[in-house]
Amino acid sequence: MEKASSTATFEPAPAGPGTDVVLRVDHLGKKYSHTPAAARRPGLRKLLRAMAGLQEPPKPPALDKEEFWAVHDVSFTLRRGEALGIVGLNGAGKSTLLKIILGRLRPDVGEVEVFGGSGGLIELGAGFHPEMTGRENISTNATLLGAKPADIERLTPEIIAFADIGVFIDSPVKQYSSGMKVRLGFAIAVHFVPDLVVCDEIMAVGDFDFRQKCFNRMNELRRDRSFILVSHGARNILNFCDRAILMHRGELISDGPPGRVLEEFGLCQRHFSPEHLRALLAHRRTSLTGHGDFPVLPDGLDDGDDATEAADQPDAPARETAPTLVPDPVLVSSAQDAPLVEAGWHRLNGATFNDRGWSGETLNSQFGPQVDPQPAITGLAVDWNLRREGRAFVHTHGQPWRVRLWLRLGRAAAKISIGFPIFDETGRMLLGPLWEQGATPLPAGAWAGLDLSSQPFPLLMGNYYLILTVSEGPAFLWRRRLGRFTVRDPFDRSWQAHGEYAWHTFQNSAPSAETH
Amino acid sequence: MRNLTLTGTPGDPSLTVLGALRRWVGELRQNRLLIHSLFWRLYLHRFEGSAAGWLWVVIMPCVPLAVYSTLQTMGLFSASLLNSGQDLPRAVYSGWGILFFLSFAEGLRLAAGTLVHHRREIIQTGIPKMVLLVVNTLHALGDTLLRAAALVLIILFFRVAPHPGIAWAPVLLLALTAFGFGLGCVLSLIAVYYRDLLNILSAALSYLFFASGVFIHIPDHDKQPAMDLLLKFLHWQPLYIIVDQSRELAFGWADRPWALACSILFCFAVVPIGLTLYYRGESLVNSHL
Repeated sequence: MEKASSTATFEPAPAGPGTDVVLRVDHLGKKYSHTPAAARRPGLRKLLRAMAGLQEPPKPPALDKEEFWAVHDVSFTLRRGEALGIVGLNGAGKSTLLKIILGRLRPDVGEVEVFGGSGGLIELGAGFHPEMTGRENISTNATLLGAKPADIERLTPEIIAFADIGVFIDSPVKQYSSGMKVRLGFAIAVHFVPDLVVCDEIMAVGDFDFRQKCFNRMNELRRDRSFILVSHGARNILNFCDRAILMHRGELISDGPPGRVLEEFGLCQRHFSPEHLRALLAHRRTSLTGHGDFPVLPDGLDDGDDATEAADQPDAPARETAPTLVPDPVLVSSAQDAPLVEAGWHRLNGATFNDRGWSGETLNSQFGPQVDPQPAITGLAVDWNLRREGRAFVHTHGQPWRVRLWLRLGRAAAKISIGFPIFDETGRMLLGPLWEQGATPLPAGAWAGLDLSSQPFPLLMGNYYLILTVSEGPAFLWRRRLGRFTVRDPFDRSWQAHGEYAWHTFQNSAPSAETH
Repeated sequence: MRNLTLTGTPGDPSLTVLGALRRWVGELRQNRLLIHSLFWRLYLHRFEGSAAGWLWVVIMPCVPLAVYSTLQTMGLFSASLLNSGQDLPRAVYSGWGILFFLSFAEGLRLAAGTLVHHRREIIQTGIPKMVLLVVNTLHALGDTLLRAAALVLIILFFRVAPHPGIAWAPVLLLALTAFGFGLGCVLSLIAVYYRDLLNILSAALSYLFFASGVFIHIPDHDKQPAMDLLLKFLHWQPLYIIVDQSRELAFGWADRPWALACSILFCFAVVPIGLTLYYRGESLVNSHL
């Protein structure tokens, strides 16, 4: 095997049976031509030579005229259970790399070894026959993924439930919206995933609820599968991956903790050469901290459109979270019994959610069918201290505004984050108080309470909706509109938000130029 | 556990015929469920959405047979002489020729266009290319069976009594389909680089349709030297030999049995040769799809 001259320093670990390595990429290179027509004749010559049994004359892996490296000298390994994120600008070679790993493209130099089966969550629903129904396509697509007929028959109801496209399952796929196709494609794919799962921008598909369902499912799969995730969403990489690599112009620039790699990704510019970027990063690592730690997320990265924030990760950088209404909401109690509603408080929707909430029917209609075999939340109650006026809840500006969440977990969870975003009537999110759990796991089976208070409440007159989001890592466990409330302002001010400001008066003449 | 190793080796030029056959059988075994599933999907569902639905699956393959047979019966009902001297209605004569020619031509056309026409599926879903080639060939074989059934009806209609040699017909049809598949495997790779090949192939098959004994005997000599050479080539090419001699075998007596036997062997031999060439170069083409 020819090997490209290496400038990277990431030597692959030995792989295979007896080790826990599931993927070994060794000095991988793939060339493309700028003009396909120019590649035609040499390509055919190569094909005819191979057909005739003639070996290609050995030559260094150099570029011919019009050629460029889509992937050049990339080496890394992936261990069982590890999730690797790949980041890079458009055209960095991420998709080409994935296609080679999946065996859909052949490298020009180097070697890829996958120990076990590999499969991709890429271009979901690509193999669907438009005239066949969703149900019929499940069978064909699952066969394409290597599933056996008995497994397909057994899992079909579960796939249909997961896709949650209702009666359309028996309609021709050509009548599906693109979102429905993706839902069905994802539902099929995740039920037959192999040892190594390769995902290309999977988080960008489907609607909000479906994305959460995808996250849940992928979190489940993470327990015994290895993942490669390509995403432009920094938050996805941060939350989901143990490690990340940065690619630029086909070359592997950086390999390390997701936080650090994402920070370096923020420095990438299209016109940088790989050498330039490497030098820049080396200089920055040395000059900033001396050991490569970076304090904040890079600006300008797409950090997703939802209210989730990453839970604590040992190697993630400290992140700027959504502003909280009070500095440190704290766990206020932990009791074995179901929480009682205190005087002056009201329980939202009149519900204490138990065993994952309302009746199964209501739950399904709200969130889709239950797919988590081990429910994370077994009890949930939300109280607030608003005044009740008929059917409406009212808050008067200037009074304390308080919400209390009672939560009982079915299993220990270490990456819980809780959000109480507030939306106006047009659906605009105005506030996003968020609490993130520390390193200590929340215990299972006991009620825990979380108090959120704000004084003064920053919003003035208007009607607002309070939403609850409970997330575990990147996946929402709960996302529900809890209730509508009205804010009254005794001063009848016309603007919408009001803060506490500090004013300081001073007396001085006009500013003059400083003298040194 | 299924492992995958990909290296930068250009193609697999050292692959032998035996190795290629082994690989082919292994690939067919491994993907048998997929082949079954895709065959039914591509074959039965190709007319889904139309009012007549699957009826078109039966009707469409028989259209050339029906058209030529009907036209020839109406206008040229005169009996045709086989080499052996037995009379045969034109409808049966040309129907037989069409059945045999299309078993080769459809197999070849579908196989040669497989990689180009399914390039998106290959790259997006990672479906093995050989699976698609085999599915397309089975597609051609399915059409052949339907045409054969239609021809049986024509034969019964004209009350033609076939000779026992007609029992060889399935073998001969299979040989021609295999010929189309073997050749198609190789052409499918080349077509990835030069799609023009598919148009050239289409033109060549149109020419051969009228020059492979479907409608007429091709004599083996002519007074003009240039024509003589062409006729000799057409007369001795395996496609003509099988089309012509199979008809002789079924309704008369084959006058060139050795040529027929050699042609059958040749057709079947094209498969391992085609597979060897195909597997040697298969890994190179994905980048150009």
